[in-house]
Amino acid sequence: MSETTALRQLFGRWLQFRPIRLPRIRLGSTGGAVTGLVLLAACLALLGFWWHNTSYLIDTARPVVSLERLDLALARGETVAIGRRELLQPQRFDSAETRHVAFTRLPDGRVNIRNVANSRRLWLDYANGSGSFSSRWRFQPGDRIAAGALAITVDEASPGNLQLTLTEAGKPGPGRKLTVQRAGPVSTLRLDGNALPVCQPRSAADRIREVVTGMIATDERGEDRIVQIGGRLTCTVREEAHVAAGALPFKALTIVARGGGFFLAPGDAVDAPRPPVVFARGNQRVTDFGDIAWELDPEGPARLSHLIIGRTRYAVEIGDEAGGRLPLRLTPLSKTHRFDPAEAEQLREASTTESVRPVITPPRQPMSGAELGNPLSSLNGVERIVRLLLTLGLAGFGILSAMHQASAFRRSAILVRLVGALGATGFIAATTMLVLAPELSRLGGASISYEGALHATILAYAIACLLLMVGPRFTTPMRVAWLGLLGLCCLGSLTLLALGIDAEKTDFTIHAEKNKLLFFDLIPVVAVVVALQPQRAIAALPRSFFMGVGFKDQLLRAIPAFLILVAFVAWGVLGTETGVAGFQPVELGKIALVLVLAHIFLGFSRIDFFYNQRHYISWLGVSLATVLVFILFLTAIPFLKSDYSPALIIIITTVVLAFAFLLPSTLKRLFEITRVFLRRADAPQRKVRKLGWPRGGVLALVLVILLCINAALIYAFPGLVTYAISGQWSLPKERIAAIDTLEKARGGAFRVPAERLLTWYDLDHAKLRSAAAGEARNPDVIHRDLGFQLLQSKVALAEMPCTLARLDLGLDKTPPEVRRALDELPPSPVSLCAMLPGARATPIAERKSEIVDETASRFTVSDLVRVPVVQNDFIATFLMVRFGLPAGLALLAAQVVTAFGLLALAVGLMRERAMGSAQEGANKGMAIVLVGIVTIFALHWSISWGNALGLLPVMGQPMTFIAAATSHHMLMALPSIAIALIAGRLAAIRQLSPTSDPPPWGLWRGLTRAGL
Amino acid sequence: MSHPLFRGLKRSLVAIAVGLVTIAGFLWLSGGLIGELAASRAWIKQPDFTETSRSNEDLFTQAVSTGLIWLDPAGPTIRSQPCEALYDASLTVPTPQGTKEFSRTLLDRLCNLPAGQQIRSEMLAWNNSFLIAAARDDRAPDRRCADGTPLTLPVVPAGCRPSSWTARVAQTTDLAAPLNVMPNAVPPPRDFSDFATRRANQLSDWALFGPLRERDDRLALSSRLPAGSRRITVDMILEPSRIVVGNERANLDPKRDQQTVRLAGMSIAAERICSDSDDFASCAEEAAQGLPHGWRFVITGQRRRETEITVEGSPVRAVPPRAREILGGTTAQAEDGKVKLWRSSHIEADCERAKAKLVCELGWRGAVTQRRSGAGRALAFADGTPALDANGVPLPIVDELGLTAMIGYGAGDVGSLSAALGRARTRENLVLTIEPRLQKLVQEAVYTQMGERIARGKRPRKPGPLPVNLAPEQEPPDQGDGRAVVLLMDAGDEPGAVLGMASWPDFVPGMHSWDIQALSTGRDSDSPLAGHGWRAGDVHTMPGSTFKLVTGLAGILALKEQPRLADIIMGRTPPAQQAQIFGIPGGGTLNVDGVQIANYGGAGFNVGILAPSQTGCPDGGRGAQIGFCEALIKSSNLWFAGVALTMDGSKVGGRPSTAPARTGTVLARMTEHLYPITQPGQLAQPGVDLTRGIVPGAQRLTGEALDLAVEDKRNARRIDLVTNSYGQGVRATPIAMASIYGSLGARKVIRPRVLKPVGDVAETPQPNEGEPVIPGMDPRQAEPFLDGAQRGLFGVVNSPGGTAAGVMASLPPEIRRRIYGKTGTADTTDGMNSAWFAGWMNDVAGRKRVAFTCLVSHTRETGGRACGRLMAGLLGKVAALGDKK
Repeated sequence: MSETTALRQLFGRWLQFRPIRLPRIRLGSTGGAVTGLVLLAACLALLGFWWHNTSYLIDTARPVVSLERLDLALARGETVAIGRRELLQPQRFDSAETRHVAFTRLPDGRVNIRNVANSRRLWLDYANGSGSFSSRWRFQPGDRIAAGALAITVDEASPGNLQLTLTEAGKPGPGRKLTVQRAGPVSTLRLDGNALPVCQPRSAADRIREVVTGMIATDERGEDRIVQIGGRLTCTVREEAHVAAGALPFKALTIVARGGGFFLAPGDAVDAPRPPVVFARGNQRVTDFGDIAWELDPEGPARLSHLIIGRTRYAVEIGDEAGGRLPLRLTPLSKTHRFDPAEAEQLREASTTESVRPVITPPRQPMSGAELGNPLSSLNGVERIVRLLLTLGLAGFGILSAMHQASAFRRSAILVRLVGALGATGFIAATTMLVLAPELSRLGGASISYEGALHATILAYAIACLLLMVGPRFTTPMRVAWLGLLGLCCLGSLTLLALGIDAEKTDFTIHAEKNKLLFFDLIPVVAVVVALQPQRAIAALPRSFFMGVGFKDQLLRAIPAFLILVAFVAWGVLGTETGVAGFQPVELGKIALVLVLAHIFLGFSRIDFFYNQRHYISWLGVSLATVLVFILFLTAIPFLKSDYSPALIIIITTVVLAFAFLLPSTLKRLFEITRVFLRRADAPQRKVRKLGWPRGGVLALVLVILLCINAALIYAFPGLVTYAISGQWSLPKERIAAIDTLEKARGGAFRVPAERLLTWYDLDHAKLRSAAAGEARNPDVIHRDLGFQLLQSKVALAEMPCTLARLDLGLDKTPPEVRRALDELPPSPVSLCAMLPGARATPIAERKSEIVDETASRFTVSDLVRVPVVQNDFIATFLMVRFGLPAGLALLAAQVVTAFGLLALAVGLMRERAMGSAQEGANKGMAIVLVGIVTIFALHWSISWGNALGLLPVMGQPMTFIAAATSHHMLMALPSIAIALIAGRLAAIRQLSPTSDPPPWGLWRGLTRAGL
Repeated sequence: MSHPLFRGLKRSLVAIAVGLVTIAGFLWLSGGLIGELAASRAWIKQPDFTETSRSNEDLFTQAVSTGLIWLDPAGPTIRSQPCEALYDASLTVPTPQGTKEFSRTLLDRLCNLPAGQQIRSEMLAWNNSFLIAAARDDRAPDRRCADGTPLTLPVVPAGCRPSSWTARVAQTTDLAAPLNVMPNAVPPPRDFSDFATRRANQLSDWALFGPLRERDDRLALSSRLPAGSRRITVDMILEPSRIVVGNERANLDPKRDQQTVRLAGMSIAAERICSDSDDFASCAEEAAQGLPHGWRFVITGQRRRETEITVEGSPVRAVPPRAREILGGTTAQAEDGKVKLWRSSHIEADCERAKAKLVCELGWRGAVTQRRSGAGRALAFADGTPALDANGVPLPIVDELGLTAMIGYGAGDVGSLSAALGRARTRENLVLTIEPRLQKLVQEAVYTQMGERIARGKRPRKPGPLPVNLAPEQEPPDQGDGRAVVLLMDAGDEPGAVLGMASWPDFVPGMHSWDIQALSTGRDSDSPLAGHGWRAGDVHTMPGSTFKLVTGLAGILALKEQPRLADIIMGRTPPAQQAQIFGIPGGGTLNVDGVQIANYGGAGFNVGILAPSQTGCPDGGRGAQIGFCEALIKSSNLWFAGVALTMDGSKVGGRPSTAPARTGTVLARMTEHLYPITQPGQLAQPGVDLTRGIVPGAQRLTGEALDLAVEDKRNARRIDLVTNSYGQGVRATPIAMASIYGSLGARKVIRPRVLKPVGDVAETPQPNEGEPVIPGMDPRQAEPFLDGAQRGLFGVVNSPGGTAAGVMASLPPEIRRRIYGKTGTADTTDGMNSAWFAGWMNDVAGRKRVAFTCLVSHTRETGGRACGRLMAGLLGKVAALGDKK
């Protein structure tokens, strides 16, 4: 192969050296060089904005302080109670109480810890890995316990064996003997020597669920609930044992086993408050669980290492006694609270005594390096490994692929091979090193800040932009879509950064860091690797997936089908709304389903092509079976899950794809058949046979009918619930009456979804209330708590500034008049917003105390971050209220541009180019996938906007690219971007030389058989 | 078309088309976005919230109707099927109706749904409210809540100062079980409101202990108190038998209401707190009868140290007397036997004893509608001084001006004006009609008067920051039973605008919110938020002679039916003839069905009639005469009783009856016309007015006549009519009287208002507002009569025989001659009077006409003395502010 051919293989048709004539550089026909340069400039401007505002947001943030550590110095015999003030926690429902934990140093030098809070709990973690709440009484032989009128005497308490005597006041005769024998995870319970009778046996479903759940999750760190005491029930209910104690409320106390020992713990009584409990051991009396003391540093491994007070985790260190005082140090590890320096100083001063000394950090900007250090610390070990593996794996694959490319064309000149391979390697390595800056800086002994790491990532994006925009690899639609994606990434990153800055606790910073490390960082790597893949490899992958007949191709096709079944079944059977063990498999299922559907639809629309390919048909059968099983599964969703939004997304996506890709060919075929019959042409049967039956259409019909049944079930779901309760099928049309019906429906097993719908129904979107409604004084919103999230969002949105706020466009030098004119440019949406009643131009205040203007709204940034699940469902609310309407419009614009860009790309792929049937098929398959991706993106965005604006019930679907939803981004968005980029490259390919294997098979062969 | 040029063009066109579609899509979406945002903005001004949802009500009703929940009369406790019955059907409890099959689904909901949890906690609160042991104290050290947040409200809110009392059951075994503090539970405010009448500042929350099972439970309540550093007040709902301090102990005598115990260097003054009911001789007797009661301990000591103090005793059974009558067993005889029990926030029971069986209907009280707390609304006084801060909390000036009762203490004060502001639909800033300079004068006048009268020379508290840790001598005086209201109202250019209104007892900051609730529900008239200016709850608001004006005006109204009244009103009928018409044969007393009606001091009908030259009344040229004008000056009960009998006698005549029915009398019609009673339910929606803003008092803005039911066979209606005619047996709020007098001055009916009108919301027209004083009569025709009445009011102040002339003599003539007024003295209870002075003053304080009312109740003085003196001083100062500009 000549150098020219090799170069053309490498760089497409951009560079065409004509050695004889004067060399001329043709500005590529695929992408449009000028368009590319213009878009590159736009990308760079966007990256500049991102870069600048990352620093700007951090620099302009109000400095905060937090608790660095709490030093205690306990004299012998001294008791120190600490709480909210000492720990520098604010007064919140989830923070510590005023007096929460008491440390007592006994005269003999030991230190005890007690939970002295009224209602909140204290979690203790031990160095040996175990942990539990502090309200646990360890049984020891001879203990006597009085709980209300029930007396418990401990006859025996040894590892694996517990024997108690239960005596009730006023009941004659000897007490009952309760024995617990525990061998391994199984405990045997006997009352007066007899096993407890069974009230309700456990169902098979319960058993399966328990086994599977047990494989995934652990309960309270190995703490097993043995028996509940109280009430009149003496039997087991689905394996949960109850022992009656008439003097106590039902489930008043619990016996738990942990680490071989047995403990008494408060139960979850429902009928009445827990009875008072007194524990007696020898002469020692302990009144109630709050009085139970735990030794801080006993002999053995059970040394206390951490405490969780409020939601904050503290490390406990014990020093050496000095000056008669034993130093103890509590260091907050995560979710620390931020305070205004003056306020914190006041609190610190108020709570500092000889024994208690809170130490506060110096003032620093939130999210700055000084506060957070290396952003990597927000990831746990598994996440770090996943990040490293993904990044390095992608980069390694890209580099190997470049090497393979260089080695595959042995006849080309060494220079070209070197330049090509080294160039690609350089780009990939540079991008990888930039995104791995946190790890590299740590290796180098330095620690890069979040800001620095984000800047490095932005540089990586710049490299990706360069590769995407310059050269003939991508078509204009892909480039436009990339610009849109870049805008989304920029806004998403800035929004999460602002959320991290604004939060009063450092928990939101984790979202910002995680999203950056596990999603934003991976995008440029993917983009660079895809951009630098050889054309043949790019073309081969979809061709193998969609059209290949070999075993490997079939294996490739099996992956998404397998993923669907595993992911969805796992989600349906085990998962909750937050996924399975924090991982949301449904996200992977979404993209996998699109791939499978694309395969099926492509197969049916080109059935004439595939008719004789047995392998293909068999795999089509497998895919079809997958989808059918999946649809059956969807049918059961309303009965299994309270969260049906993923099902809704998938149904809509499927219907859209079926309509877009099956219906046209079916109609065309029907039309042809009709024409044949109408013309009464010769041998119509033959012609018809040649045309084939519109199987695709039949499939589409079947699919649509099945999905319609699903959709109808979901739609009629409240009706189902209503029917179960009230015998009515349909909801009344009047809103108030509908609410009434739903209210009743809410009582059944399907409480949660009905509640979500209720909220939605509750909201009155009518701009004007009718006079009659006004007179009747029917409240518009009846459920304070249920609609809380939507209401909060709407309240926040009403405070949205109409102009850009707290973001810097870098227009410092422009006169203010010009900026104002820009802000209020009529008849822009911004000017429209400014005309609305109650419109505000200034950003909302940061804190309550900041408000000087009496007429200004009381809504502050602190209120904004307290909008429930603001980081997820209501991220659009946050973005608009924090940054103003222009930012919201920019977000919308970026979404529209991305969607239209990807759709245009799909249209481009559909264009027939006579590249051979196989490649055309692959192109069409990719087009179907692209449409599926756009549909899923659009649905996510619409649902999220709908939630923020109160138009839809809260569904827990994140706004892709903006929300803090790492699993959604990693499992759904990232593969989607990779597929879109591959499709983008595919669209730019005009002519192909035949190839055999797609990556990674081709790469593998290249390395083994004909390596460098 | 295959030329590259065309291909390029085609592609460009496609690109442009796609671009245009994108832009159009974006614009369409952003338009939708803006529309939704606008809707959001409009929407957040609207929604209401309720405390509970309807599902609570549904669930409760269903549970009651299916027998899942029932009232056990023995307690009277509410019982329900236990949640255990979900698992084992044999555990169901037999209900009074026998073991009824109930819905398991319903029980599941009751046990496992949030709505069910709320119902269960309400039931718990109900059951715990009958047997009570509770404690609180006032050891608060500073103006911050226990968690360090500064106390910004003038009321100590619940949760600000947690009680640190603990309790345990003293059992026979060595394991004394502690009792839990019932979360969020408080003693029923209505039953224990007597605690709230004893003022103490900065009291903590109540700690209510439970669960209590037996009346005979021996409890020990204890706490560590910083005794000795200052006086500490401890309130305790307990039947105490012993007090233990350290190792020393002392027994309490259950038969004595007050005793002092000395223990461990401390002096503990114990006082039993009970209602001051006349049915019992002492609190001990009341306690023995099982009425709700408790103790207040005032602890003083020498030493300055923390001391553990324990009070041992048994819980107090708190069942309202009527309930006990009905529920207390078969021995109690029920009369009409109906009682409504309300022991928790949401559950209520309507109980009735039908023969030997008790019938109770349990119900779920509907949710209270509350506004979502939005941005605070601005509220300013008439001079522009802001009244509320950005959070809607009243600024200190509101307390300084004594207006907390009217404005409320924040948006959380349901029903207050500050809470109602958020509901106002106007976008303009709201402005009070109150003028601080006038308000200050009014308030000063009331405080001085009441301070002198009630605190035995001790000045009442100075308004200022929240008091805390007061020395005994600094503590606000017990404000006793005295009540006073003075208000000024514009009756000229802004008719009805209340310019200043002070009432006593005053709102004392530092009270706990429980105490305010207790007073509002149990001792309404003692509540600092009572706002006596617009509430008339009892006999102490009988207007006395000030009501005679209404009777006289009714006489003018009656002219159509009885033309001969014209001569009587104008004094053209000779006194002797009038006496004959009125049925006062001897001219001394009027006998109405055996009840003797006389003038004040027993003076005869004809006695002391002055010549027109002295009274300033219209001179008919007949010498001394008596008409409306003279009768006002002389305050003749007989004349007004006679006029009432003449105009309405026939309507209440006939068969003697005790049935209350005044409809059809001219007097009632006139009262209704001058001050129509509007019920809250009938109020139309929008607009900003007084009655909507201050909801609790709205239905009491009355000027209606009371029923004085006479039990014998005499014609009670006739007697009512006669006594009502001179203001006995009628109740009227001071604000109503000011409006009526202002109406005469303005010659049109005026209605009170505290907020100035706004431009963007049309107000709901008030009934009769702006109509002529005498309805259905040509104003020109009515004028001579009204002029006569006005001259009479002038004469009250200025003529030598006027009832207010004496006290007003201190004022310079040029001021005095602008005052028109009428004194009134109503006999209330125990020989006490309610003293009144109502009227108006012309050209004063920059206004054309300012109407005023003064009411001082629980006094032995007459209206002329008690109120005349107060108003003389006040009007003199108001006049010093200047004339109408």
